Amino acid sequence: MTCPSPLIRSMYVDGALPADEADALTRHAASCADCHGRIDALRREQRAIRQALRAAEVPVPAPVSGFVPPPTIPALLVWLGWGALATWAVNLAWVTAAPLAPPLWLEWLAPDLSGSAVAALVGALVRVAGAADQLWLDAISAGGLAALLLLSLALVWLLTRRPPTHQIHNVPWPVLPAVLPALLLPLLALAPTPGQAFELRRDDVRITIAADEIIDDTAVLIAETVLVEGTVTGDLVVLGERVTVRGRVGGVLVAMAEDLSVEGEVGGTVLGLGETVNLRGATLEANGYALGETVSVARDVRVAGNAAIGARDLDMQGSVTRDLLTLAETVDVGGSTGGDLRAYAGRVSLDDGARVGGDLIARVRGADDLQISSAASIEGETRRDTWPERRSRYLTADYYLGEALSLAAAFVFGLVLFWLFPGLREDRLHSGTEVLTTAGFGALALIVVPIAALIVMITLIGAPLGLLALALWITALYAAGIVAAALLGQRLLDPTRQRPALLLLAGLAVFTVLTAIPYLGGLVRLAALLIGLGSIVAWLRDRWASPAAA
Amino acid sequence: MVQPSFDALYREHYPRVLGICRRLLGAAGDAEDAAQDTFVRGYRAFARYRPEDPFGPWIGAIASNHCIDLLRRRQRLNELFSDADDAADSLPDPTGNGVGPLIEASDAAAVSAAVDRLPDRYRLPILLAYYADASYDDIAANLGITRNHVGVLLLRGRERLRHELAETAICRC
Repeated sequence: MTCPSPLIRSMYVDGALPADEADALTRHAASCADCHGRIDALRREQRAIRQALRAAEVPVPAPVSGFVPPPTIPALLVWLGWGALATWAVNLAWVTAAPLAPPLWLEWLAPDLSGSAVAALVGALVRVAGAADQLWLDAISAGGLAALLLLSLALVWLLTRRPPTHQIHNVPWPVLPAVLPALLLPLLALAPTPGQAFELRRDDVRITIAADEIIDDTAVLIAETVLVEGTVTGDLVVLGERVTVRGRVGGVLVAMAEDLSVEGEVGGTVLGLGETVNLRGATLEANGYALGETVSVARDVRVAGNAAIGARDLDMQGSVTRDLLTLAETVDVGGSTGGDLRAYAGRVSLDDGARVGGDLIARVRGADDLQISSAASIEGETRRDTWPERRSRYLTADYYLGEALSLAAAFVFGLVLFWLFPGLREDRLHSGTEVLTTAGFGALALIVVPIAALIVMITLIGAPLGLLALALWITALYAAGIVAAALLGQRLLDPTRQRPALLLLAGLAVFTVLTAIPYLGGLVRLAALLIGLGSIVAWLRDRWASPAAA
Repeated sequence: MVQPSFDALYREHYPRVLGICRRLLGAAGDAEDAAQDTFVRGYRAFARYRPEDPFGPWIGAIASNHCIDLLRRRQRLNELFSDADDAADSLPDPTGNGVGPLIEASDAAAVSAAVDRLPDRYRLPILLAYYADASYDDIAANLGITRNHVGVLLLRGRERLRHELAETAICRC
């Protein structure tokens, strides 16, 4: 054997040669003094490096606390399941207990003790039995929501999973945009998917889609006057001062206008907002929702699903196959509903020819404010009711239950928020100037973000991006109050932040009480919003500047 | 839930794992986080651990893998190791240039500091081989290079180390 290369000798010393090659080299080195010397030198060098690296070790004490295993997915799912179940139970209790009047079973809690606890229990049972089908529907929808929630949380967990033995100090920056959409998944389900194309047309004065024109896509039309006589096969979104939709819309129609007139055929849901909303000769294959000062629905209008209309004056002559819900000052009904007619109004009149397939549930101002023509027909029963005298909201049990629920929701949200981003708890308000600067940044974020999002939505292809930004903004608005409350708790109780959850709860409780004070509450809310938003902005800025430090 | 043995192993091996993470990550990251993550990974893979094997190298390999992953995410390690210019034929002969015994003669702190000063492409193989006790195969898999390439990098790395130490020694004079 000739003398091996330096690489072979090095690998030999590192014990990385195959056994036969190593044996051959061992035999060779026994007879070659040069190789023997070199190998020996290498060996000593290698040993010296090993020893040097070991010797330079900074001594570390053994950990004091034991190993805490990370939560496994099944365990997490069980907890999430309990959470979903609890959500559902609260939802159920809420549905059972919270119609417009204070719930019977809570009346015994109220100052005027009008019934015994037994009566309250019976009342609650009766209500549950009576609303059974509704409860099932709610259970199904709550189940769907819970499933989405589970999915979102599981995604968040997968993205951020860390052992619980230490806090998450630095969730990598890219996780933020990844996590928030997960939290907003239910919202995003409503938004158009990025792959979905649409046609955008804008004009300062007028857009006309002629009768023979077909837009084989989703269309967004923005102009002072918009007239749609042709066909839009996808969804149609229209914004303008005067909007008339006379053609056929295959999907959903969303229209906002000062003067809105819908006269065509719409395959999907209709959502109309306007000062005046007129429906004439229109056929709505799905549900219809309208909100306006004056809403009138002509006799030849047919809604295949449910309809809900909010207005000051509502003239409802059309027919609704299922239920009709109205919330208005005056309601005139001359058409028909296949299902129930619920009218919450100052005054309701059912004219000649009005037909209600289900029950009529009317809540009006006075006993005389519900007028039913003798020629009107009501298949089901008629439940009439007057608005309760306006009591102070502070005297209703609902108010306190509602406040408690929203406090609990804010607390849970806050826990998750600060668990994901502990940096948000940082108190950056060291001086009066900093408070003002922070609030200033908050005000800026409050105004600039939605404007920027709208511009992105209109000028670029970035409608999903804009929607996402808006969704994030809305989330940030909610989070702002919680961040401010957490800061308040820390300031009031313990600046060293030993028990963050307790401080958060205390802050939220104080915040809830403060905001409940008439007049002053609004100011507190605004200040908290600005400072909270400003703190979020400052936190984002710090994070952006040095991802590791934040 | 935790097998008591894993808890005991954690207490025993945490210092060394933390040492590996500190060494490999250097100034680049939070070694304590990485050490925790290493044990979490170990815990998840514990079913595959054979009790007859020593635990130290097993968890050490997980730590190395994890740290290299972290470095890979932060830098572009792939580019560092993808060079094809490490031809074996141009390699120096370690004992031929008269600086052979220098490493032995230098004190431990100087050698250790010199290792830390090496570029990642040499520093990482040296640390993996001589500190984390990883085999050539493990290092190759870990860095995504061939076994031969590992040998070349180690050989060159040691040569660079000698130069580093020689320069430091000259500066001191």
